[in-house]
Amino acid sequence: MLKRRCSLVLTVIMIVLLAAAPTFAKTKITYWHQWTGQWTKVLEDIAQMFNESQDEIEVTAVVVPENFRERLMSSAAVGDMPDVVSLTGDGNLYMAERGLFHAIDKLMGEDEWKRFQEWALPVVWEVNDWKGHVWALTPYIDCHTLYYNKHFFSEAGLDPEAPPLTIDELDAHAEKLTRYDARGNIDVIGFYPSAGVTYWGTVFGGDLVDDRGAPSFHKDPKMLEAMEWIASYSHKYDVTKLVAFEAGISEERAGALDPFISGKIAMQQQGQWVIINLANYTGDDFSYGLAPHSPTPPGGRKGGTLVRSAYGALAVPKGSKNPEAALEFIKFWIGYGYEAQRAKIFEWGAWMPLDRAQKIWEEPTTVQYLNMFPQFAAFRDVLNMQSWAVMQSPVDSFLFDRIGAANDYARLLEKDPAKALEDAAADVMKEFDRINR
Amino acid sequence: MASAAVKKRRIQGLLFISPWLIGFLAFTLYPFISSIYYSMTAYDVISPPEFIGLENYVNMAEDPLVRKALYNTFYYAVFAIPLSTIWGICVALLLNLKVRGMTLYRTLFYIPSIVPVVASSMVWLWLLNPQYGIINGLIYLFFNHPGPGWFADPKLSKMSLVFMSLWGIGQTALIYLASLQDVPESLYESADLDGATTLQKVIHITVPMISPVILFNVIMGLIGTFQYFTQAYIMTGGGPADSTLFYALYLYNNAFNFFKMGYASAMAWLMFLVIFVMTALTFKASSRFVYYGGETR
Repeated sequence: MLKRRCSLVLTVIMIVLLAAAPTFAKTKITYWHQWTGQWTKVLEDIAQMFNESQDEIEVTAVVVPENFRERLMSSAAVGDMPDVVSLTGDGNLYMAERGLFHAIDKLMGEDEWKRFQEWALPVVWEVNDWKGHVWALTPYIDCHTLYYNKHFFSEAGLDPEAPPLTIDELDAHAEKLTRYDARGNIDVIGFYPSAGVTYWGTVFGGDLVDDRGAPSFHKDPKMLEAMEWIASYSHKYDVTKLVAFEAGISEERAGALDPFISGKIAMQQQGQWVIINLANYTGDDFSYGLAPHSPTPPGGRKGGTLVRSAYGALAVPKGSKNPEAALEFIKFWIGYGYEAQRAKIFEWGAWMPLDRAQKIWEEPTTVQYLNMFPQFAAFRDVLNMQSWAVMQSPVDSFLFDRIGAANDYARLLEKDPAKALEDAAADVMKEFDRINR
Repeated sequence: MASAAVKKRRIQGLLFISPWLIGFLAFTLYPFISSIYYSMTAYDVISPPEFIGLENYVNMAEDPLVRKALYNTFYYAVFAIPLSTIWGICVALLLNLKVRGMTLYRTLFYIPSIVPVVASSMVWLWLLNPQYGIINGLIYLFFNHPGPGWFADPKLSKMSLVFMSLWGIGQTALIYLASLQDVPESLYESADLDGATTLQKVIHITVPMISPVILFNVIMGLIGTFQYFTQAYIMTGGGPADSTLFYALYLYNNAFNFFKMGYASAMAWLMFLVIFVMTALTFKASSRFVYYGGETR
């Protein structure tokens, strides 16, 4: 009798537990990103920190090291998509136009979206603001300014506390800092515009596309001015020598082999993450300075951040089974409502805080980090000055490819800068017309 | 009329090869056939394909990058195929000599062909680095001249890739070597009696006797060069200034970077057509140059 009662009680407990099980289960979401090597662990740590902050959501970070776009397109074709993706390639607005992503503003709802816009810097959403909706949010921004080697400045008789702030000053400094070896090759270059016309054209005050996303760079005198300036370096330093030098350093860009660290470039336009590289790979004898903003010509865009949609914006694919949970993870990554955690993310990856009120900069973790790396203050100023969304176009993949080729043609003196821009624009315009037909 | 036993054996046979058969039907034949349809659509994978007739083919005729990619590919083929044929035969002739340690030499020449493409590409980027590369270092040492820009120079980038392809000649040389060893010794003995020189023996005996193998390698080289992709994708990305934008690379860009799967399918069919015509022409021309054993001329 007792035995029967016991088994009855156990059965009832089991049924109750099984029935209650779904309420204990967390909503699981998948996050695709492309951060490989040491960064995979950092992304896993971010996911872990998010999971610890949640009672009902659990995210799994999945690294997709290669062919990210192909896999995303394939998963869209079969209707089995991740819940969140880091968009690290071009073509995002095209995919958004084709209905691949949820509109973030709609997912948030009108009131929260307004609050979010008041909280975040515009750079977080403006580049993905397309046809009335925002399709992705950018959780980290690459800010650029001029790094310069103070030792080289002193040797060349330049004031190590006065970096060039205009293009004319930059060119003059570059000439003084350039050195040649016994074979007549460039041994150290003062500066050369490796960032290309996409970057420098914007700094010069030009625009790549108009409001519709159609190419406008060929009609923009500022873009032409930037392209001519880029080509001027090939004339001034002998294109053969410059190309040889460039090929020499292009194989050694990362870590300790960064040409600025290895003393091959005296001044270079770079992002905030280089601060960590410099700390890791240089000794006390390496002294560098940061310009308060990129050197700018008269009429150019003085100081600020340039952002592209391709720079890791977070989107929620339409195939996501849990878009609300996915949105919560995006908010976490950006730091909206998770300021203390975002301060840690800054420390882990040099991904600067993006809140308009700069509260995250005052979090104890951030203050401690800034004491270690006070150089970030320069980038904080740059980040909070202004920002420009570039290549806001549904044909940005093709545009990026063609503007890169145009840059090559001009810098290698294969085409006149105006002709290089016109040819590229003609190709891109055809593509723009095709998709808008 | 097949008996029941024969029918049963046929079914058994089909069942045994069914894994390959299913794979072939699903992953080769179906995509092959369906690409004809997709080549007549505007298709980006994300949205359903939209039938546009022959528009992709018309656009190809007007696309300057298709012309550029075709030019680059033909340029590469014109240099790479003859040079690899001549170089392959020369290496095979050397490896066919009866000298001490020949197995070691054969191994050494074969090794490059088993090195992964990515690894060998990186090595060649360094070897041909204009400023720090060993080749330009040697040029400076012997000629007191800085040397060319190689991959960084749009005028030389394709030739640099041709140069690099000759390094991995081991596989081709091995096939030539096998065919050289099939040439009857008696032919050389007769030539010796007639007082033929080494060069005469190579031209009048060796080359005709291995001509079917030369034809095979030329056709395989033709197909390979028209599909040339990996090295350009890894090393130059089509640059500088579109100088290494090969046809297969541009096709890939259209399919996976520019969301033009339909256009890429049309490009694939053009590539198929070009390879087909070139192969057919080579076959037709071969009847005048290729000698098969037992033929009388």
